[in-house]
Amino acid sequence: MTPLDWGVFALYFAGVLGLAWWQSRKNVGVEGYFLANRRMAWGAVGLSVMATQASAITYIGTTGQAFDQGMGFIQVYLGLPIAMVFICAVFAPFFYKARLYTAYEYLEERFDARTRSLTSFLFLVSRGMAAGIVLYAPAIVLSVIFGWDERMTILIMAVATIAYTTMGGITAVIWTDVVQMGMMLAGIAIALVVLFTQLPPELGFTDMVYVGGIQEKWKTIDLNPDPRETYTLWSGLIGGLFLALAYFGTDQSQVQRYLSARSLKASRMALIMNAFLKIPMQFFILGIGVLLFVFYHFEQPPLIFNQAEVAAVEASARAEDYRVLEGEQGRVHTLRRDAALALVEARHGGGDVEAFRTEVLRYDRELTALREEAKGLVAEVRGAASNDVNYVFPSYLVEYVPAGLLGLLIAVIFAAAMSSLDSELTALSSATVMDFYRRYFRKEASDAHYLTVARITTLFWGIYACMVALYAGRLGSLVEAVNQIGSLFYGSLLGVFLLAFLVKSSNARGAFYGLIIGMATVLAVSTFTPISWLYYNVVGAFTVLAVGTLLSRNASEASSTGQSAPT
Amino acid sequence: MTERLDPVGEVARAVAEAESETEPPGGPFSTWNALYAAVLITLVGVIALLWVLTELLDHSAS
Repeated sequence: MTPLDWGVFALYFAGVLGLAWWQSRKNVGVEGYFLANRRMAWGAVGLSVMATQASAITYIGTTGQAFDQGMGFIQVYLGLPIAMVFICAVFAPFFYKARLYTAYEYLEERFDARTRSLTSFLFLVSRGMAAGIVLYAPAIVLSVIFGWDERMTILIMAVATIAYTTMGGITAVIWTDVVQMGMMLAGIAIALVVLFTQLPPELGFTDMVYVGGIQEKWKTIDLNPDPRETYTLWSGLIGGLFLALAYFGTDQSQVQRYLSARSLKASRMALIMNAFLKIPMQFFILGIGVLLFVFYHFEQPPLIFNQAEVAAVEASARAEDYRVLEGEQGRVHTLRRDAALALVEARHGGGDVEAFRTEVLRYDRELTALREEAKGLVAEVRGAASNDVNYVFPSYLVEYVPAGLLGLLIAVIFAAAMSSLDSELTALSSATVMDFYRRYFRKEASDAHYLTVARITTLFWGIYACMVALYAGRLGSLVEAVNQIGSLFYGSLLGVFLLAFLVKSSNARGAFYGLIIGMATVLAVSTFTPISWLYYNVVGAFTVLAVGTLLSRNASEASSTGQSAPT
Repeated sequence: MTERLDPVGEVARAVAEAESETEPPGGPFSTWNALYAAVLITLVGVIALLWVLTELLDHSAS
């Protein structure tokens, strides 16, 4: 990075911290700290909702995914607009009417304290670990690409985020999210324009689209009904719907955003904004990946983008095999570049387009096979699957993006990570203080006392996330285990809320045991069946609804016949 | 532990009560329902557009 890039980068940090400090002056009391005194405008809340969902890995990981596998990933988001409508119509009025601090608080109002405590505890465990991963994942990519110290990268992101979140609470978080989301949208536009201008001058827009289509990179809709497939229209509409319902409807890091809106109308507008903007935004992010695929028809890409993986193979007994693959890749790349240029010329000059298209397709397939073989070598040497998709976009940035813009686009990656982390910290803090500290330890205390505790818990969760990120490499299987707990409980938690909203006769017994049985069912399904993970939330939600309704009915019948229901 | 068996899960009532605090009451043809319909119609349009793009831009076979 040049001094200009560092200047832009520093400007971002100074701007975010300055804005947070300015906004933090408005915080008065714990309601101000956690919910901005329920005064936020819908536009700011809407952008914050989007910024919270889009992490750095969304930005750098999905571009790499599109580079390798095309646009099909977008189908995961097709259920999101339906979920937004459902949440606006059903969830938001309940939350708004109850004037809650946390989503789980509602479950005590509707069922009992243990259901609230269990769901909030599961949220704290899984989201606390996820906050660490939000820091760790981009840090490891940036440290490999730039040769930065991984720990220093984590600390820079974490310290700045912890500082402004602890200081300013949700007001600072939402307003910095607005700026960070603006940067992300600008970053997407800049990346697309820069990439397009770096294509050969004879390549027009339609040629670019045509070359991308030769290997089906624009394929966005897959009608395959197989439930084992993750990226299909059906898994997106059904599994994606339940995933979005669980995330936006029951995860405190999202619910807290729209609880801070100034009215029910503002909450709904924020969610509807997300319903309209999320798919186009994801389309353009994935579009960067396809454009990169086209770009690397004319510039030679590395065989493997993750240089740490390359170094590991080169230091192993398979180094010679890797060098052979690299040599072969160079040869085939030159042939493909010439064929692609000839194809463009034929499209404009009336030549044999079909012959050149077939040639490009053949070389595309050869290069894909070589890349897969190289990934196989990496997996063999490292004993773990290659994780190359996250390195495609950052590698391009550092190699081809002009000075100044590089600093801006790296700042965008930091902004994406920080805008997710800050929301998670305020959510973790609010659940800790409201669902546990105030509920069980200090029911009556001054507002100033709770505000102090809120700041301390925000700091605690920030340090906790930092520790997880610093030791994530060593935690390995533990991180996976906690992520698995998260995926087990997400759909079941949604089921508990649906039970509360939709089943009039449901009670605490049905909700609590329904949640436990729902999680056990998802664990069994994930262990013994090959269905895609996108359907786990569907299984969890329906199991809780069915079991919860049944158990509530039995308890109701027992009490009406004079028997006492077990608790 | 005391269990609550009294029904409170009426979505329509909760929606009406929450809305009454901030907005004039809406019926089946309220602005909100029109907005929800617009979201769903847009989604159907987007899926149709993506499907057409998938078919039009696939040049993997002649």
